[in-house]
Amino acid sequence: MQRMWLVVAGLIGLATFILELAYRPAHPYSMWHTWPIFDLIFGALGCTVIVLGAKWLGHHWLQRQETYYGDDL
Amino acid sequence: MTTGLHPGFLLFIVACAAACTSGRLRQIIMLAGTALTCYSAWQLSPEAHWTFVVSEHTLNLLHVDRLSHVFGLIFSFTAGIGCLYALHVRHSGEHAAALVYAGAALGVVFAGDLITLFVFWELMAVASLFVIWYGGTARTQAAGQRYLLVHIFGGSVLLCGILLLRAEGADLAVRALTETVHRNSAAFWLILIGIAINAAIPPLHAWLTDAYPEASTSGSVFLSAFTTKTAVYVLIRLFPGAPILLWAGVVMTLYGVVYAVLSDDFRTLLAYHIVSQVGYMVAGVGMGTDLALNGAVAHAFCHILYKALLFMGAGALLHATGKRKLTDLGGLARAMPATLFLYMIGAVSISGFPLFNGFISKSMIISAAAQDHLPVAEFFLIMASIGTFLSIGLKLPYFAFLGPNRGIQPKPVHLNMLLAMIVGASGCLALGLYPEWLYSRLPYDVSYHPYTVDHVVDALQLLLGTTLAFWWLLPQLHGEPGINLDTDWLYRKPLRLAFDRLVTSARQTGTRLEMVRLHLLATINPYLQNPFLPDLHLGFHTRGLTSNTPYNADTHRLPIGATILWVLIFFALTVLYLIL
Repeated sequence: MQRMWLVVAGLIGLATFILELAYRPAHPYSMWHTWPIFDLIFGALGCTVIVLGAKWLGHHWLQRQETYYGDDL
Repeated sequence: MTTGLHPGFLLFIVACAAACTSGRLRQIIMLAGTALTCYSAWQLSPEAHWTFVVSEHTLNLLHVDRLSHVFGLIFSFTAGIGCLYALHVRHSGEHAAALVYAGAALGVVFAGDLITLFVFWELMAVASLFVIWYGGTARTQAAGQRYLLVHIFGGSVLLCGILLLRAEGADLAVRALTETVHRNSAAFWLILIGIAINAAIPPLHAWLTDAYPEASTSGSVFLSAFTTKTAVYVLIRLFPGAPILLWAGVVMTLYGVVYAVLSDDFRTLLAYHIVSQVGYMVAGVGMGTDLALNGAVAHAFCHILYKALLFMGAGALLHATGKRKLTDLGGLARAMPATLFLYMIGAVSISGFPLFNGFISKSMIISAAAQDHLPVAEFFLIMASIGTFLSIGLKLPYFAFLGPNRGIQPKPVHLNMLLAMIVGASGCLALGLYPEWLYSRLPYDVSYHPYTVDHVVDALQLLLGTTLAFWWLLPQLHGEPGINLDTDWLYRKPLRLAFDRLVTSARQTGTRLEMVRLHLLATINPYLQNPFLPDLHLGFHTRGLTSNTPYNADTHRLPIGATILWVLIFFALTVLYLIL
């Protein structure tokens, strides 16, 4: 099952890569729109930064016990 | 003078009828009443108006243009699906409060002057407070009280701003303050702060993530739709192109995303994503171009639909399991397949999947940022959409429905709840497939095509990359029980401590003053006794007093002799003054 999902993901990635090469925007507003698979890498890296950054903030600053404000408050 | 039917007032009538009836009759009244409201909102034209002259001011209760009409449509529709979702609820007061809340939101949308807007704004705050309180727990009561205090503050600031604007000579019509001489005046900033509180712009947002997760399952559906979106509507009306809103919006999108990653309570997670999604709209208002403002309106429209659907899904989960923490849930996909499927339609919509409504509206705001040459804003808005898919599209469904089975036996979900979710999901899909229906109703005539190759490719790659990172980071993402500090910490800890200290010191000062008073009383009393009633011994009794002695008028007050003494002294002084 997991292998099937990986194949599907790979096919979607490949299809989007081919489409990206075939249909590059003529007048991109930002530079990164011309870089192939930029959004794939951005998605993975962005997700990693958000998760690790949020967890770091949580562990070092934000997270408290359930009863921090008192019971039922 | 009135022409046309005001949908908000129709909902007030439905609310009264719902409050006075019960059972099947109430259900019919609620559904028929909200259907009629949708029809009346649909039929409204710019010719419709309700104006009343009060003293020197003209109250304009019904002002219809393309902007108010599109908001009126979605508010009426959401009131309908909210009522359908809540049909099984037995508290007539909860139905009435929710309908008054929706009616007041329509009142704000159709208000043509700031006084009318303010009245409905406050009515919305009061009605929403009761919607929250119908959650019925001690936590709900406390969260509702904090909600009330914040909204009293916000309403007061808004009223101060409106009155100051009037004092500066403005006519109080609802129009863009950014295009008038009042731009950057004190009134401008006060009104902006008052509205920013309802729009949940950090650091003024904590009331939302504090109170919304505590409401009842049906109450949170109504709450997710109206307060923040009326604030977005008023921002579009009064503050288009205010630069501060662009960056406030960008911060909002990321702020909500970070807290959603940390949240273990799934309704708190959804509440933080209201902050995040409203951030896109606020950023659109800040950009102020026709495309960006259309994007803000379209995103508000789509957001109301998919967020209501997500809260309905979360409510179904809470109703079926009685649990609100992701750490307590897992393996429910087989037991609740319909809820999972319908929830996932909301999740892919908010995540901006092509063919669903989030894609056709969010991409509009991001494209507006790109066209306006704001690459930094564009970059962070895209990054926030990664976080949205991560929390709502992957984390919540994985840990609630697919994760380790915890042996929970869920209760069946009411049919009306599922039907409401089906209607919401159909709306999300219909708008995604046929965006022109919405685009043709937006306030500005701008041509925009969401389904271009680069838009679709970018969206798919972004979602795919996020999914891959999610699988890699899965061990890091498990829920952690506890709460996360937010800006409500300021009034729940230091301000509360300061208030407690103030009360304690005032009480101590009062006790000390009472001791001094009693001591003086004990000293003076023997000299003021009635010499002809030796048995009274008032001074004797008073000497034994402490601050804990129960109050007795004979011992705790000066005797009548003291008053007579003062009268005699005053009389003697008056006589002396007259003689001299």
